[in-house]
Amino acid sequence: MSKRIEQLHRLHDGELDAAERARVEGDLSLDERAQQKAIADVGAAVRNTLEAASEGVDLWAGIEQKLRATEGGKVLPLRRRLRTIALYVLPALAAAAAGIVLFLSLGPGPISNACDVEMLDVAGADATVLKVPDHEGKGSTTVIWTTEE
Amino acid sequence: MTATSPGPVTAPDDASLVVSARGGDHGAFRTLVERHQRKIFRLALSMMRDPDAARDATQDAFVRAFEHLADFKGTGFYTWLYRIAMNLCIDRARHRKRFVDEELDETLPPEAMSPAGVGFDPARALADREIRERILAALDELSPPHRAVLVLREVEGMAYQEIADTMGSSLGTVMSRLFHARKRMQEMLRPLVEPNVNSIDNAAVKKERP
Repeated sequence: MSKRIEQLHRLHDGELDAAERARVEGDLSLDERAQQKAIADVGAAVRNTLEAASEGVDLWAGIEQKLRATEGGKVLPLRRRLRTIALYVLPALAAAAAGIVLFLSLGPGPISNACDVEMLDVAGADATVLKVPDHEGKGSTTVIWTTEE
Repeated sequence: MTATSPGPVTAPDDASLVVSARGGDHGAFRTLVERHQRKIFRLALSMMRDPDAARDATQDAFVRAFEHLADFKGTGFYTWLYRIAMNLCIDRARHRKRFVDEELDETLPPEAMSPAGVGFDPARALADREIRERILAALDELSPPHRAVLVLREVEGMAYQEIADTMGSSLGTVMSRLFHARKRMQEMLRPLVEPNVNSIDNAAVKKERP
């Protein structure tokens, strides 16, 4: 790269330190001054074009829509799916299985039909009173069943 | 009666908005979008030429940034965002058009700018849509990395080192690309005022090799 060409571009771009800037500026020929103007014109043409074309750009609505679509239908990679299954699904299944075993071992015994049934007449309704003993015979549950006439 | 003035309201900086956005706060991310969307769009437009494609690329760059906010470390959100957008645009520009690698051969020493300038008042680009179309067409003839360097310097006003950091290139590569891109643009813009050349597109594909 020509040292002089590099200096001219760096001068235009403010990339020279003060001493070097003063030296290069003091040494510019007429042609080089015109070249500085040409560099500036190219930059201004590009800058003005893009500034004018981007006037009033507002892209949030489209971005928000894409964000929602991405968040809603996110497809997890296989490794992350397997990790999710290992972390959450398997423990949940194990807990449910343990609950079922516990329920079966500690839950109520076979249903008995050894209950007292009593019919009641109440205003505007028939009532059935069921007294159901628990399986150990230590207590009972009373159910009153009414049917409106 | 005395009234207390609430004092100046300070807008949150990018770093604190990023922290909120990481927690899923779309409002914080919206502020970041509104702050940077024009700059990203300008870069995208210079790379894609087509405004619709540029809009799409800008939106995708922001979505990609949102998805990777957890990866953002440091304070330069703007530079980080720019890198995402630029890589995305370069990829799309490459898919859209095949570039001849030797078009702007960086191993050749850059030529001096012609003192003839570009031959027209650059301010015309602000008001004249046709001029803008032609300047975009000229930009389109540069390879994506050359275009990106030119835009980062001339439009975003980045220093050489910032451009090098953003693009992951060496300082020497940045300077070489910038000087070649300017020279090439000057050559391509001159037909705008030369009566015998109808289209900048035609002029742009002519390549002078030593």
